[in-house]
Amino acid sequence: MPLLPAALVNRLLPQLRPLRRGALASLVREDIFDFYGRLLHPQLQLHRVFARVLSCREEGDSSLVLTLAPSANWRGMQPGQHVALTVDIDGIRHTRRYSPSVLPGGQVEITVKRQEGGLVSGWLHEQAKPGDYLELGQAEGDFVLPATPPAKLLLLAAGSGITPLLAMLRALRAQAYQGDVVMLYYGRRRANLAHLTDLASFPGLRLHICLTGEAPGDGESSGRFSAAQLDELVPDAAERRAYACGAHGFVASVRAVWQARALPALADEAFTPPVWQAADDLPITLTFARSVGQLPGRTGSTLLEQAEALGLRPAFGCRMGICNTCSCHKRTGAVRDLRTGLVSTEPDEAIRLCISAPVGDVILDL
Amino acid sequence: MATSRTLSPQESEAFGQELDALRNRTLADIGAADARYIRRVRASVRLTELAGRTLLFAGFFMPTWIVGVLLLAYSKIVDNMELGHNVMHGQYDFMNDPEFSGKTYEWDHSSTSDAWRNTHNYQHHTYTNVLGKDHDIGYGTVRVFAEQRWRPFYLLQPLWALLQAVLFEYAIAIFDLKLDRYFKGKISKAELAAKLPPVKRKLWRLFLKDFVIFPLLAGPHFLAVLAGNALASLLRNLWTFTVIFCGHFTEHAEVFPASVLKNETRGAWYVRQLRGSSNLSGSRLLHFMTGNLSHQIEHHLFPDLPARRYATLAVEVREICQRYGQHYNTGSFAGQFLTVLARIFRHAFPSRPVVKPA
Repeated sequence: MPLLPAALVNRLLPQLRPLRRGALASLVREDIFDFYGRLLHPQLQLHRVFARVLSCREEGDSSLVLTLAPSANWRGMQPGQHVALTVDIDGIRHTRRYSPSVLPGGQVEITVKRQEGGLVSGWLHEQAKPGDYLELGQAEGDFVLPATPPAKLLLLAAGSGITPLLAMLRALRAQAYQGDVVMLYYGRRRANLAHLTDLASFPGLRLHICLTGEAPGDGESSGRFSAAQLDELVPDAAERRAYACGAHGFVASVRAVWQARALPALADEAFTPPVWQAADDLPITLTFARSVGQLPGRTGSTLLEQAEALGLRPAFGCRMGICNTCSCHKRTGAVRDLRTGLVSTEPDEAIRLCISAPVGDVILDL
Repeated sequence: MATSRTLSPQESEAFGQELDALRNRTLADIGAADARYIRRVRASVRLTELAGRTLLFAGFFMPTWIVGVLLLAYSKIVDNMELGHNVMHGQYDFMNDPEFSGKTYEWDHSSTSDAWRNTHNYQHHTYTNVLGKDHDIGYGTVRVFAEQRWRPFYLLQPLWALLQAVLFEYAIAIFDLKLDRYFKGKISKAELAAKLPPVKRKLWRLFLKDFVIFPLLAGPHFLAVLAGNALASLLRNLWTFTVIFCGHFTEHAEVFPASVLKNETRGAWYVRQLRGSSNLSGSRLLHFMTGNLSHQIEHHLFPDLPARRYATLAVEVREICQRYGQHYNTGSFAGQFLTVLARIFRHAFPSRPVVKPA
């Protein structure tokens, strides 16, 4: 039991501003404040956000809907943005990104699809319970609606790509949006599709369910996204502002049709799973999120050598994996430790550039 | 001198492979227990600091004052050794916890952790006991090996060593500035000035904390807190100095010319780490209070493995060394320290390297 009530803590958090900025802030070490803070209440942290799990509910056959109450340190989000959710499993913290919806009370709803063999999704499905505290990051991403919502919208979702679009729809409903929305929602089986009841209740939403792994029912379509299907289901696609979200392949095929047709204004976001390539020296894309963006890379040599060859100057020391100077935050992608041969696919982890070779596309905080 | 036999290139390669295999076996086992351990260590550091400072606030009532000093000294020592030093090596990066990230960890020590990560994690651990490359050899003030060039300055080095022990954290804090090289004219004033601001900031900050703010907060007990903080800091300095000098400057510790670095293989690197380091035998408490740097050999072979593993690793490392005819430099704390003192006194005077029989 926390020593302080949550309500008091959350009233206190905004008052900590002088400790975050200004002369006093230089005297306070965040990790020490946080250590003593969490003895009193898990949410009493200087900057970090911990959210209390209010409820866990099953949706479809493989989705878990978590309702979370973030601490007052959370700066809120725009529908469509994503946040990092971090859980501690056996002392090791694992981070995954989700696109939540903000509920009218300021709570956050996150849909977690169970991935086969997925460590974090499996843990959340089995272990998360009301009363737990999970760490939440601040919202990121520019997959959002414009300030004035367009009159005609087309939403394309595949699998868990539904979540940012659902967040947008909920925000539109809250604003009493009067426009015209068409949604194509792709999934292998009907039972996989989450939030169908919620979607059915949106006024003015024309929902087309497209199943790729079983026979469609009445009013449903079958097959993957294609230009022909788009023409059939959404003849006025050219007049609509379009948003697409799903796995990498899905988003790529939507983008290809939009380019081929020269259709206007597609916003898209892909949940890219790590691409596994076992061969020795294949072309890949390295993304240096803080500096130059995307550059071509190879799987064959270390990230440090490649970054240097591309003109970057990351900090380094021993170049043999012992001094940790080149330690760098990897957001996504798989890397191979050249000393042990082990491949790590964990998103959001510290890696050493000098002994890590990319196995597929990698995104680095560099 | 130590009785290690010279390994052929093939042997040193095989020696390295055995150590790599040991490392990988340990890596595969790292997880929840290590994470729980370091969180507990940190909790003990924070809570003993709080308890120690609270007791000191009670003023000069001897029993509480002494316990307060000891608790605070414990907190400072463990923060320095088992927590700060080991976390900054990246030993706990596997936890993915920003509070235990080697890259960003900050410690309660006058040396900025950025400077430490450079001089210690990089320079010292890469170039262990290589003359001219590892500036930890004597820390610029003490001549501990005959291979270092003698100068009259060293005649008084027992005194310099004592001063360094008393002021150890400040010596480490300004170490990265390489003041000796500045006075020799090898570094310009501008180069020195560029490095100063973070060092000054950190020194000032810790000085204010222990010698101004906490004493002032104690009001009428100003002096009791000031004296208590000073004594706790002194205890930490003497302890860390002793442990660290015992790690590399004992009787059988070897020093190497810069030429060894040329085309050095991984196996040869391991051999050098072994020969340049020395262990202390003793109780579990001793190992803990030294941040497991009593297992300096294992630390140098595997600087990024959690230090709590070194005691277990030591059994196998020792066995491997025996098979390869490599001297495993260990001894009691007192015994090893005496050989360090002997070195400090002996090499105050001109001395020449013993030529090893081929």
